[in-house]
Amino acid sequence: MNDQERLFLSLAEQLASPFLQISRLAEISADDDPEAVSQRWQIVRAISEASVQLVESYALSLRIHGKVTPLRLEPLTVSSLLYDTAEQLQPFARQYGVELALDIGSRSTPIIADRTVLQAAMTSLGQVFVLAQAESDDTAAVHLSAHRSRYGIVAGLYGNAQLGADGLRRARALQGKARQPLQKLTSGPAAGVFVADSLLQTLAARLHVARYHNMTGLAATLQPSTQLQLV
Amino acid sequence: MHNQQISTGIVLARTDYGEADRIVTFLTPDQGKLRLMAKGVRRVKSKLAGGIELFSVTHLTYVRGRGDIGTLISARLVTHYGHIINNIDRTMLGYELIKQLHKITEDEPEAAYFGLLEQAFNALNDGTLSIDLIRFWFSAQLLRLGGHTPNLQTEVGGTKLDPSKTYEFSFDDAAFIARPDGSYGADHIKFLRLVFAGTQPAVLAQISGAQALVQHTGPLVRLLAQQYIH
Amino acid sequence: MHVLLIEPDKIQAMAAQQALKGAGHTVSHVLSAQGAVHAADEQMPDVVVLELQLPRHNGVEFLYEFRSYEEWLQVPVVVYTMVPPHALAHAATLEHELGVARVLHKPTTSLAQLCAAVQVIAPASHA
Repeated sequence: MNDQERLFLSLAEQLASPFLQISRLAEISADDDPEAVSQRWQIVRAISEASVQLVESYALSLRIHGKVTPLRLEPLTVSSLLYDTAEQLQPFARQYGVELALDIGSRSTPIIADRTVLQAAMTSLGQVFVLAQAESDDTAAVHLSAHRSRYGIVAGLYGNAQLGADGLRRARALQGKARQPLQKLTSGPAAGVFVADSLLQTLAARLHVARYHNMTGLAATLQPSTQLQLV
Repeated sequence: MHNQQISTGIVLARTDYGEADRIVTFLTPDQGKLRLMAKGVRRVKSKLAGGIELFSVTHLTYVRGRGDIGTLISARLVTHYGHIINNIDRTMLGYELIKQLHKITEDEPEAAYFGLLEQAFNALNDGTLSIDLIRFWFSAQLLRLGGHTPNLQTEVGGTKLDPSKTYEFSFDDAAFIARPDGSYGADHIKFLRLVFAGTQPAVLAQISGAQALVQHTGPLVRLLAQQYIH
Repeated sequence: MHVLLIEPDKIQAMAAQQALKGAGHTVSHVLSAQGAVHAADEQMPDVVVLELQLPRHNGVEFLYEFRSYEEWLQVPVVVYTMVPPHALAHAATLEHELGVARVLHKPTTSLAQLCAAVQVIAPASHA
């Protein structure tokens, strides 16, 4: 299998889960009272929208890599992008009882990037972190963070899982081959990680394990624009 | 304490002992099989975690008991082959190999068996190595360590094996017999020589056509293993 | 009957719990292998329903650990998993050696079928 086939397989295995969730919710809703049914529909909506977003992100990565769609580079601030990412993830996270926290600092150093690609990457990654947090007994929030390092602006997601560089390297090798390539993070295929990786590659960036405060996560290091400075 | 001993071990089995304790059987390179009482483990909320996890090499500090069973003082993880559990079939093969080794080894197995299990875990931990290859390789190593390597140099009768000929395998003689249209040729025999020389699975996997060679020679090794080991 | 449900997906767990409770059982839900060992310690289950794909440890590890305790040797286990049959070459080992009563593939097994499987297993163990 080539890389794209393995990514597709990972995505296919990931999407089995929300379809199954919808099917089982429908099964138990037959005899439910209207209020319970209404709650079920909210869950269905949230997981459906998250799944559509993941599929769209994957399709976007294929189009960019296949040069069907060009990158649209523009100045943007990572903090605003993560804010939008958190908004997009919120309905999904709510259904799983997972809190999201934003750590974006006060200065907004601009970068040049394709906003759609970068946001798709962060949202796809965010889904995995929400699922991972939901599988743990820990009630800590998933953090979306942007901070400066000497290498650039580190934008990513952080949680309570013990991730290591070796684990991420192995996960990339196991993607599409093992059913649980990132088992220390989540029980599922973690397709969102690999979709995010594929998208970030189009921006000459790549996911890496990062540490922030006392949390571990996955992030991309992006280069600030030297031409633009927001006052 | 002056009578504390140290070793490294791989967990072979765990059983209950009373309400609070567990007896853990370790395979060690220097002390054979060690049975150690892990006191109070059943009360501690770490039954699936900690120093006595399976698929690990653990540094052990213990005190010898009067009888067979010593007391575990501390256990520290040295190597945890955590990627074995990324895949259900790998996990099950891991348990199968542990069980096989535990069953066929006496209380004083040679150090080589510890090394074998470590290598097996290493191979299983590498998600790119095929399970079939690892299972095949392990059976061959058990045969080798048990002194049951088949004759891969000469055929029944003593004539040197000829790369231009084909052979069938005689289980009675544990050697090849030349046959026109035999099932085994030079490539199969060369591969078996590498396997029974103890070549690591990661190296075997690099051989061109390794998967097909494993499939072809696998039944031979499996039957030998059934005959001599299980 | 008391069912111990080991399922890392909270939404699937919610649905399964509702179905099992609707069938008259009490349910303890845990997310992980570690949680399952604690839960079984606190309240002896009559049946375990187990997803094999778990975070940090997998269901096979749980089964070997679970069966190493004498008091849990006879507790029947129904595997209810996303792992497809073709990826589970050792299903026979699960059944023979680890006391798994049924292996059910989630995408092709409705909750009603899960409840029926649990019910069929129950009488023998629930004496």
